[in-house]
Amino acid sequence: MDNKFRCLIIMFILFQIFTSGRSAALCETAAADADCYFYGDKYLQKIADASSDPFLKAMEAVVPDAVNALTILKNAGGSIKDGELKGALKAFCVSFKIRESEPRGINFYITLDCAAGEVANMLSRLAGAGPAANKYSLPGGFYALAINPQCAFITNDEKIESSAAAAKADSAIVELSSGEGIEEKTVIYKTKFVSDKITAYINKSMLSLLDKVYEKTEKFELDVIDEDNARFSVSFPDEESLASNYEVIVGYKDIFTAMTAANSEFEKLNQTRRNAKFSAEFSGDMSMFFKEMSELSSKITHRLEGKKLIFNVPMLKKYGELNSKMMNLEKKAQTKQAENPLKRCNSNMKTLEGAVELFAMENPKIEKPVTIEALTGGGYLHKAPQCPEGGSYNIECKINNNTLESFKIKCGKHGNLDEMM
Amino acid sequence: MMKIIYSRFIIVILCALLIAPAALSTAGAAEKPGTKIKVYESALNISRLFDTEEINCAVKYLSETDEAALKIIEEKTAGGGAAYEVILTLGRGLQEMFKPLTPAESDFLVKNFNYSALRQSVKLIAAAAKFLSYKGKTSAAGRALFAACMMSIHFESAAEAARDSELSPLVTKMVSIACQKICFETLIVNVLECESAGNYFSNFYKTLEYINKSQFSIQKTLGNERSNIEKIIRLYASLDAEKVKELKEGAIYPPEVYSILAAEIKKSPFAMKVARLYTDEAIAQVSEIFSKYGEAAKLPFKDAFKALEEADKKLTSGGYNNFFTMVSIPNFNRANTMIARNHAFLAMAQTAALLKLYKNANKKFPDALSACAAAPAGLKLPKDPFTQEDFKYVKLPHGGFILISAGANMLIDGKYEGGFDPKDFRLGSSDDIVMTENSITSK
Repeated sequence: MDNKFRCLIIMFILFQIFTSGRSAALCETAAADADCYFYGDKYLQKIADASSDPFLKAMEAVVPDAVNALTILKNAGGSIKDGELKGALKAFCVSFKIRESEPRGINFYITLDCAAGEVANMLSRLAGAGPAANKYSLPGGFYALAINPQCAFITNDEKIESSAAAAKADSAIVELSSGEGIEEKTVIYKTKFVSDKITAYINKSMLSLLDKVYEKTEKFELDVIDEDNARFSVSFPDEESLASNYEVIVGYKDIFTAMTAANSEFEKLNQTRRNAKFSAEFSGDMSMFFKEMSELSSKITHRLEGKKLIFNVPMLKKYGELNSKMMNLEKKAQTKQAENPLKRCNSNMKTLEGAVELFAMENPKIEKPVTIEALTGGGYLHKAPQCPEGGSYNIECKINNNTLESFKIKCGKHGNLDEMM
Repeated sequence: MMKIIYSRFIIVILCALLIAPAALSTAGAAEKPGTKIKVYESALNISRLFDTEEINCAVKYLSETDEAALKIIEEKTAGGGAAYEVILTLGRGLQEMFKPLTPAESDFLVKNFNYSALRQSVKLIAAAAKFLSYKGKTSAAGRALFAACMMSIHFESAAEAARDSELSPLVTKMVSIACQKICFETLIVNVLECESAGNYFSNFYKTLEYINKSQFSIQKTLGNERSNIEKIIRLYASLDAEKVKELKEGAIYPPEVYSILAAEIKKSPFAMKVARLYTDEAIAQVSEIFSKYGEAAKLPFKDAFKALEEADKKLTSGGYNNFFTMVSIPNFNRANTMIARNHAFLAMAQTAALLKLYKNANKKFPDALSACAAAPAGLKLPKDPFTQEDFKYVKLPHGGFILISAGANMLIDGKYEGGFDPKDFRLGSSDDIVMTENSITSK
């Protein structure tokens, strides 16, 4: 029950993140099956500077392919700062596509619009070596192609043909070179990727009613007015759709505001509760966090304008600060949990012990020692447990007349379960 | 003549005056305490005969041969012990237990029993009855078990009648089912142990038939459960923190958190509207799910299982994305399986009676189960509720038999042709229910 309650709270935080600190440049769909994002070089520098952007942080956490793509972009950003290459990169475009075949993941396509003659220089710096068969090999399964001295193309899509890569890069470079699209504004269209993600999130977080509202929306826009103020707009195809749906969106926003206020109290209670997500010592900080979040949220105002519902989001910097606070708290909690590997190993061994007992109950005749593979293969364990300090687990079995008389679980690093107890 | 009538009238008035205070003190209501209340009191009293440690030990007697458990049960039951007195009182009240429940009796049950008290009493009654069955006192033990069975069913009716009760009707049914299962298992031991001639076996069969017909309707349980859920959802949606604070069962949020949440939501008319729409949606979804449950409950187990799996699939795959729906819908597929399982035990107890009846007449168990159907008129051979087919019956060379119910997976998992070893069976993964000429084994 508590988790579901928390789930709604987390959704609220994501909403806040979404409507805050996105100083990214223009985002626009260029193809029906992929989402393309066009950026100016300032944004690349922002990524290189420790990437404080919460949205990218979140992406890094959930999508391994994105981590690799971001690492490449960070390094490219680092190259720009270098005196020799200063001004070498003018703009770049990132697009991605969900990989349906195994291994599942995301293919990234990054096109760099460089100053004349700088492509080879930049790619050599990124790859640390020259090209082999016209391809630069980059970390994380990515490779780069120099399309021409002004345009580089980077991807992790192994199957893309060189000619297709060149065509994709050319079309992106036309958009980038025109410079028209690069503004301090983000537009999110309802591509299949966006819709799938949002619908899945709405369902998972039990934000019913919003699913029907989302179906009626056309696009979302984020305008960053200045360093501390932004406008978040939800567009509908006509005024009638807006009139019949805006109350639900505003109502949800107000419910989330209410929930953060309530969650501040909930965290206070956690100081006396067991099994809280964050241990009691962080509850005070969490309570304060939610209180501040609630105050910020209550300052968001809204108005109707034609076919748009517009939210004015003030105090953007404060959101950024709060978000960093939240990240630090998560990190602290995780560190604390990881601090006691002995406890985790002990818990792994107890799981193993239970699985062997179940195995013995269901297999009265045992001819050879029980192995971890037999336990995973037989469905007694979902997966083989891993000792947090790299010890390997062993099951010492004493078998007599095809019967398992006794057994001991041993970790190569931490010893027997009995000894640990 | 007038004098006789007048004197009889005086006697009736005097009797009423004498009984009334006792009724008030026992049931807490201005109604004559029926024999049923005496049965309930006896059931409560059996727990008082044992201390906590003894109870924990004694109930083991139901599932395994345990020296310590046997010793405690023997001490309290043998030679006219206090537990034996309880068994006799329960048996004496059996006739009354089939009469409709009065408001005072309902009131007594709800006030004096909770889930754990009911389960504990039934377990101790069953343990004592099992002991007495082995000691040849099968009739007294059987009557007490039937009475305990009926008491479990009465508890469901009483909980339903108590309008302000917060007991979940479905959970109450599951508790009643669990108690009945304990009784049926022990009744099977009882009838298998019984060597009585006469009409014990046919009466045994008929009493079980009556119990089967007395079951509290599952449709009614589902209806009540749905109303309860709707009531709680509406209560939360009312944003009335004081009323929510009074909720003892089913609280979704801590009251301190809820009162802040409610006050904040009330500040925004938009939030209030969303809360209302969200509630209406939850109630519509709950209603849809329960109507599917209700339809499924009318079907034979196999079809019901399929229909309920479909309903569950929608529930677990995010088909209902409303928080209230997700937290309040019970797992009815499991409940339905438990109900069918209980029915299987009842049907096996009836089959055991038919087999004993056959043995009485023919000095041996039949070669085929169908031979029992020709036994006394009106006693039909029960079907396995899981498959709607006859139970599997194996006649053993030494004269015994094995009777098998397929269980919830609707498959006979074990191989029973050569005999049956309960120890091996317990180690395996089969969910069959297996009865032999002297035992019942299941997992």
